[in-house]
Amino acid sequence: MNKNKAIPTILFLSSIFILPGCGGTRLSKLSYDESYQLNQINKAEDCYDASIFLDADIQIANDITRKVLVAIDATIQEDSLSFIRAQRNRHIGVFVGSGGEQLFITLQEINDNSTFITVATKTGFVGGAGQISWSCKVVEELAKMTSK
Amino acid sequence: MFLPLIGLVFLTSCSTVTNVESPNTGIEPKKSNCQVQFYNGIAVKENYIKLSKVESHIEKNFFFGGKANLEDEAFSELREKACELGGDAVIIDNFIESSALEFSHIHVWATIIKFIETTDSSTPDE
Repeated sequence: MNKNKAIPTILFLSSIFILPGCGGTRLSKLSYDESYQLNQINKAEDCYDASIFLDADIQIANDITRKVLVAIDATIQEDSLSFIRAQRNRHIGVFVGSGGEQLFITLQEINDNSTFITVATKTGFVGGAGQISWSCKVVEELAKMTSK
Repeated sequence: MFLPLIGLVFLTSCSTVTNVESPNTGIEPKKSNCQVQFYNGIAVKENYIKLSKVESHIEKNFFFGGKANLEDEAFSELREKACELGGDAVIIDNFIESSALEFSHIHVWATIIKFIETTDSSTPDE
């Protein structure tokens, strides 16, 4: 290949992998504040991090969270009362495919009737172009399901 | 070269997984595509018995059939299950719609019910 053409081609191909890159976070930066109202949602601007002060005890909060995760097409990989790790199922797409995002959920018991939940989304390097943040969606659905 | 890949994409473009909590209700099944009423956020005024809880997850690829939504794909799936169980109606307990790029998902939790005739004025089974 001509050297003049090879360099732009290599740069272009590299950008396909580099631009999507890794995104999001495994650890939420959000923490409980006593001023929070029940079912109050807090979101990071990019929606890779979100929290909700849920009007439910920790066991019910855990149950509802697992339901929401399965509903958004995620598989639960690690599950304890205070922590859930899940990954969205991968799909072959016409262009880039979808799925593979990892979700890290922490549940903190505030009292017998309320739980503070954080949801962090981590997107990977490979296939990052087909991945999106899910934290806001999860906390919004948690609020809806709890209010029903 | 690309045919197997296209075939794979096509095959994985739409899927439905449904779990029926109590598949044997002892009630005679109805014809498939029977008439079923849906209650989504509306109280059922008639008396009824609960036949089974149903949970369904539907996935669609936008390029092979459009977006999955409650009134079309989910209702169709729930109608089929209600008919199999001999039910008259379906109560939508909850549902979540989500989409990422070309894929859309709908997950629905529902209760299949059968209307009953009673002589007294008891309240519905809720």
